[in-house]
Amino acid sequence: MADDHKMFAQGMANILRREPDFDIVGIFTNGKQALSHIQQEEADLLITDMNMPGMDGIGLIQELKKQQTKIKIIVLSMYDDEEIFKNCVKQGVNAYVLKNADPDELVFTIREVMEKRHIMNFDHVLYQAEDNPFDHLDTYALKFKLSKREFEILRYVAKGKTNREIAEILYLSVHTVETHRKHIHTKLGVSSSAELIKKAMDMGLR
Amino acid sequence: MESNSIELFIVLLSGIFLMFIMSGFIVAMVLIHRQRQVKSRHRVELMKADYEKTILNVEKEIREETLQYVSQELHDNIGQLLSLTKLVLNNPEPSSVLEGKKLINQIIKEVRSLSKSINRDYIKDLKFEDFLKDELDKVERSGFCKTELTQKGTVMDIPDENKKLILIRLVQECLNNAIKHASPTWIKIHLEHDGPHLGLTITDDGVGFDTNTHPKGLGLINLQSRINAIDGNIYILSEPQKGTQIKMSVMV
Repeated sequence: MADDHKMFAQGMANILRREPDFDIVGIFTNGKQALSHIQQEEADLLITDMNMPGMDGIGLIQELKKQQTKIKIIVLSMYDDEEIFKNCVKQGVNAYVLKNADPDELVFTIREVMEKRHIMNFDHVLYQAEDNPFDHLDTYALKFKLSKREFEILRYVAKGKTNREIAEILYLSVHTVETHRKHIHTKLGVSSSAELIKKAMDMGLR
Repeated sequence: MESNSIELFIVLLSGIFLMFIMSGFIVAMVLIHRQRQVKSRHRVELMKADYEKTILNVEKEIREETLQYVSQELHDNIGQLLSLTKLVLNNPEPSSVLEGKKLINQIIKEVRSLSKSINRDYIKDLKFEDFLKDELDKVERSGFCKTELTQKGTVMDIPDENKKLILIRLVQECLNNAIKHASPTWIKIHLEHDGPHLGLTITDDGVGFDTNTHPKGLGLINLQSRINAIDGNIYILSEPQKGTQIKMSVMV
């Protein structure tokens, strides 16, 4: 992770460490430190901020691309600015996530990127940081530990949408939607789509 | 007789002629003197207007710098802390709630100190050395590079507010240059008081530049004209890859 805000980087690292399959090998406060670490030790993924003293995010990305390292790059930024997003796409960044996006969005995006099924889309970036429209379902969220994204997908399932349709609406790959649905099934303890739709109706999702 | 009167006539005539020349000369002298006076008064006025313009510009730039700092702090520091709090509170475990509370306390502290930095009437309340300390702290806190402030002689404040304003802006400009172009690992400021004489040295170990090829860079001309406005001197020593040292001296 590269971020000049030490407290943010540390806090974010703590959140990501909760995932059993994630391992954080280093936290750096500027591009240069991150670059030299990546050159020496192995890492699968770089999560970088845009604004850093000395070598900034773009500088770091350009340098990594120039050296043709295999490392995947996710930009974690404060800027909900389409120009900056486009520039990142142009530089070959794998994903762009806003800092105020829900944490499970970042976790999910990391998995998407590692499994090469992430689709870059600016509306999707903005959506990740929007208020949770399912806040009124808080009791269910606590009971079943459903994320905002899972509620969203559950709602479309209840409306009778197919995985492909949901993927198109939410700018996700079909594979990602399938993964989400698998998780929802496990979390709600259901085994068929009919049961799933009934559960959604019970929650008042329509 | 006749030749006498002719001689007298010639003498008289040349006398009158001389008198005319003399008076013409005097009139011309007076006129030239007046003109010079007007010109020099005009020049003094121009200089005064120039000085006032410098002060105004300096004030404006300091204000802009403050606004820039505030906007940056809101975005990079407070905004990020708020985002982090949101992320932390997303997890309903009690330990996360505790961490969230800690973060909110931190945010309250940051907002308070930020509001102080906007509110402070820079010139009236701030001692010059405190200003230097604050600026270097800001650089260090941003994680840009290490800084150091050293002093020699009995510290006294700068009584002339305008001089202080200009010096403050000069220091800001030098630091901005170092931050933008030099990528140093440290910046040092040395302040020297010797009676009414104030010496200020800003040194960095950054990339430096060739003073022969960059003598007319806009930033450097600006520094020069501003130090001139307060009758001070500035020397810029730099070589590529050997850092930069800017020495200023002024009577306060």
